[in-house]
Amino acid sequence: MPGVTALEALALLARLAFVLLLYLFVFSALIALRRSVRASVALANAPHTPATLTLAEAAPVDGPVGRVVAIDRPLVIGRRADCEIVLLDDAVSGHHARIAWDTDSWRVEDLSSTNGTFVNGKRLSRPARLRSGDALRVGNATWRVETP
Amino acid sequence: MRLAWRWRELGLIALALLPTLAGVLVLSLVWERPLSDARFRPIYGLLTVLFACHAVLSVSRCRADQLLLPLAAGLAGTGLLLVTRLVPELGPRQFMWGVIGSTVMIVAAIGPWEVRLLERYKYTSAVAGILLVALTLVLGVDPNGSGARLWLRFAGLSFSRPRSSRSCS
Repeated sequence: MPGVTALEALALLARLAFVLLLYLFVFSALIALRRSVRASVALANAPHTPATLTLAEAAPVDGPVGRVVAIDRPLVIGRRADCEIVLLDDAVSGHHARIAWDTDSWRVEDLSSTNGTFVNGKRLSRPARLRSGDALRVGNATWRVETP
Repeated sequence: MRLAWRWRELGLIALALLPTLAGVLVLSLVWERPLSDARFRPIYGLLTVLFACHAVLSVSRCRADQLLLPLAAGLAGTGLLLVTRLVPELGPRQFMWGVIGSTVMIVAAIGPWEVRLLERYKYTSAVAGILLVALTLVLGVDPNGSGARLWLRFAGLSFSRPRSSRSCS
């Protein structure tokens, strides 16, 4: 082309590349987003081994020691009525802890409870794996974890 | 425990930074300066910092989302590119903010706490954000003569109002 130096042509190409690469990134971010949403849906529906929680120690309001709860889906422990495991103990927060299947095991996560969630006496600061024989303490209740 | 490298994050960061590198090429051609010019150094520095963040997150086995860092990298990269294009002298300062932001991100991600704790302060931070917006009515400055007094000046640094309230939301 007349009047256009090689340098200018190159600069134009680089500008086009800038715009195309920007769009390429946006599209790949969207694809990655869709993939991660699908992966989390698949994880929630993934086959898992059921486990049980047996109440080993409790405040009188939490029902008889020996109460057994099966874990076969994600569940929340707390004082509110919408929790899967309701504990009426004052030391338990509304939504206290959540148990969910993650890849290869059940994990317990503290939901910013006031008094904390403990596994084998250790207060959780991040989600922890539950193994057979673990002692899970929420408020005044201690549950024994059993997995087959 | 096996090391789970965050490959998706790495790929997306690389993709996010490609436009920035293309932009550096454009500036280098238009300004007729070599790619090794001092003006471009903050950009290369930011690229290094972002990949280092990725490495730290991977090594620390952080389970955080793999999409956020690439998105931030894309915005930070193009942002620094624009600053370099408009006011090259401000590049190093913008880079410094990038380093501060990355450090805060790393501490928040791998520190011994749950980031979810911030949920407890949602109303407090919403009020702080609204107050910051309101503050520009009284203390707002207009550093670049655009006619809009939307900036706050504090300890020698300027903050754009939307930015500071965004970090509260």
